[in-house]
This record gives sequence, C-alpha cells and structure tokens, in this order.
Amino acid sequence: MLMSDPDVIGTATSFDDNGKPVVLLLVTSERARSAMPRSLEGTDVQVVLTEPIVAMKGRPGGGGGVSHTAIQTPPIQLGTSGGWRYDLANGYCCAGTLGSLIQVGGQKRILSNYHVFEADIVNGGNGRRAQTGDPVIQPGLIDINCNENSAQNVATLVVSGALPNANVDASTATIISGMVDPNGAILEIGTISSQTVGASVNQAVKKSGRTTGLTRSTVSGLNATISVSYENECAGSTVFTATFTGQILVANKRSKFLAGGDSGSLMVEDVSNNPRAVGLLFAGSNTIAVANPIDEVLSYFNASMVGN
Amino acid sequence: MIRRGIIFAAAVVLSTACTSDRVSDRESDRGSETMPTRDVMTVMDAHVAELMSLAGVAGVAVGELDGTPCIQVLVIELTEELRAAIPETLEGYPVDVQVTGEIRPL
Repeated sequence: MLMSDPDVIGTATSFDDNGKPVVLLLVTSERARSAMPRSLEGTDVQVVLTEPIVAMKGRPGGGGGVSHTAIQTPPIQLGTSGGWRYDLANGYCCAGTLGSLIQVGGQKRILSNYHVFEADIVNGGNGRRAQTGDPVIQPGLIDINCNENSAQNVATLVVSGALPNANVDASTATIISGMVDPNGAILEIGTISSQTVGASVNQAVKKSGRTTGLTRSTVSGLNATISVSYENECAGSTVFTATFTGQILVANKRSKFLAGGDSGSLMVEDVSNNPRAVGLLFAGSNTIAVANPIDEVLSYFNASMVGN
Repeated sequence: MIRRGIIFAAAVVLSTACTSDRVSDRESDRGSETMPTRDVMTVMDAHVAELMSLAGVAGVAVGELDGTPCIQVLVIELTEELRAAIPETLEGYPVDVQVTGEIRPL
C-alpha cells in the first residue's frame, strides 16, 4: 500500500532512539512526507526524505556504479556510508564506511574503524562520548546534512577501546536483525570468502567505500611502521599519536584508491568471486593508503569473516 | 573518517603539496657493491627505530624497487636535513625515499 505512492521508494522496520520498533518510510518529496500516516496499526512511523536511489551512470567497459552514500532499503549491503549516530561536534559531523561483516561468537557485527565508530572519548563539543549500545547509522551524518533523523539505525556499537594501545584501528557494531544483509554482501563486490589471505608486494586489491566507491590498486609495501595522529572527537583536538607496526601499504596516487570517508572499508584480493579479505583500511595520504592486516583485526575480536 | 561543516558543508581539504614521485636524482651507490647477508625484513627491523626517530619521517616499510627488495622511508616532505640523514642503502638494500605527506585517519 505504502509503496503505491510513486514517491515512496522504500519501507523498513527500524528502531527509534529509545529502542522502540518503528516503521521506516523512505520518500523523495515533501508532499509524500506530509501525506504519510504518523502510525500504522499502533506502530510509530518514521518518514525519511531521501534522494531517489538510482544507478549512477556507468563507464564504458564496466564500472557501472551504485550509490555508496544513499540510504538503502534494508537489509543493507556494506561498503556504504555510515557511522556513530551522534558523531557531531564543534560545528562538524563525521562519518566513514560500514565496511564488512564479521562473526563474533553468536553475533554478526559490522566491522569498521575505531576512529569511525568510537573516537569520541571526551564530552567536549557535544556533551557525550561513544558508548556501547549507541546506534550505528546508514548513511553517515555527512551524507544527510548532519541530521541524524534522516538515517536508519542498522547496528549497535560495541566499544572496543582498541586505540591507542592495540595495533588495530578497529571497532564493531552488532547488527540489528533485518537491517544488514546476513551474508555480508558488499556493494559492487558481493559476498566474500570466509577465508583471508596475506598481503604480498604487487598484489592486486580492491575495496568498496563511501567516498570513492569500488576502486582497485596494488600493494606497495609490507611490514610498515606508521605513525598516525588521532582526534578526541569529531573536529576535536589531537589526543594521541599511534604507531602501528606490520601494516600494509597500498598505492594511492591522488587519493584515487582511498579518500576521506572511505575509512572502514575492507580491502580484498582483486578476484571476481568471493574474494578473500586482506586488510582493514584506515589511513593514508594522497600517495599511499594504509591497512591493518585482516588476520590481526580478526584475532583482536576473536572473529572470522562472514562469507562463503 | 570524514567531516563536514553543518552550516557551510565545507569539503574536506586534503593536503595537496606532495606527489608520490620517488626521489630519482640521488646519486647511485658509491664505492664497493655490498651484498646483503641478512633478509630485508631483518634489516628493516634493525633500523626502523632510528629512521622513525627522524623528524618528518611518517613511516618505514619493506617494498620493491625495480623488482628487488628495498626499504621504503615515507617522509612528510623531503627537507635537506632528511635528505642528508637518510642513508642511500642499508646493509646492501636500496633505500627508497617516498614523499607521502602526512598520513591521517581517513
């Protein structure tokens, strides 16, 4: 019934800030937004105004794109914009990429970066810190004009406290039932292998992320020691510099492989069917990108990749 | 991670100063050829602390240069001080200085 309005492009079940179930309606016009009921059979309705979800113009010879920033009709695929629901402080909002799905005991969790999910460690500019139980949203705040009400909750944060001491910039969020593809499919990559593979120099790799979408490159360096400085909240002040060892370096000329907002993307081998994971991308410059070796990330969470 | 201004929706400005060009104008090795006796990972491990302690060095890694193992030194910018302080070879392995700019969480 709801989908019969041409401006209603998606429906879903979700949860409001208090954890109460709601019906989520994705609409493309103010007219449709005001025409929607406030509740359906006793369940509150949350109406989200979004851009039409359209396939982006493809390039000759393949590479036909998919939006990595639009709100998706659940269950969502990964390689998409997302982040901590309250990641707004000091006049800015922040977000990154919901990269992949891992299995931790009986739970399926979204894998992204510490600095995407839980880097807010001071009350500072927004009066709050990231806590276990906070919602993780899709898309991230940067793609919805910093307005959390235009996003959907897809997972629940599990604070890792990985940095500054652990050697991984990693964090996870337990998926909300029905909101994330349980097979862990990634936009433009599809499902992956449950196995991993080590990095090697000149290895062909790819990733699917919020900003640059599906991109490819090659491994350029191994066993890297890299220093990276972190802020204590969105647009906050530098709080520590972490020195990572054993990292993977990837060619990133003019940030074509990895750019701001792609953090949290899973780097996989560049094969078409069920590629194996290689690393968790988290940092870089406009010449190189840096990934944590995926086996070290999985060991940290006592986890495995969700895949075939 | 990326951030955006609430009011002005400002684009993130990435550092623009550097390219990935390798330093190609270094003199080739002088004096006698050195044959490595230790593997490149071991050699890097032995020198990583001293290299990382140089101001302006963002990273150290193992890579390949023209198909042979090398030690990469990533620098924020190539100053005269760094050019003088970073050796051209380490225990027989070429040192590949790469200007990367600052490495940040993305």
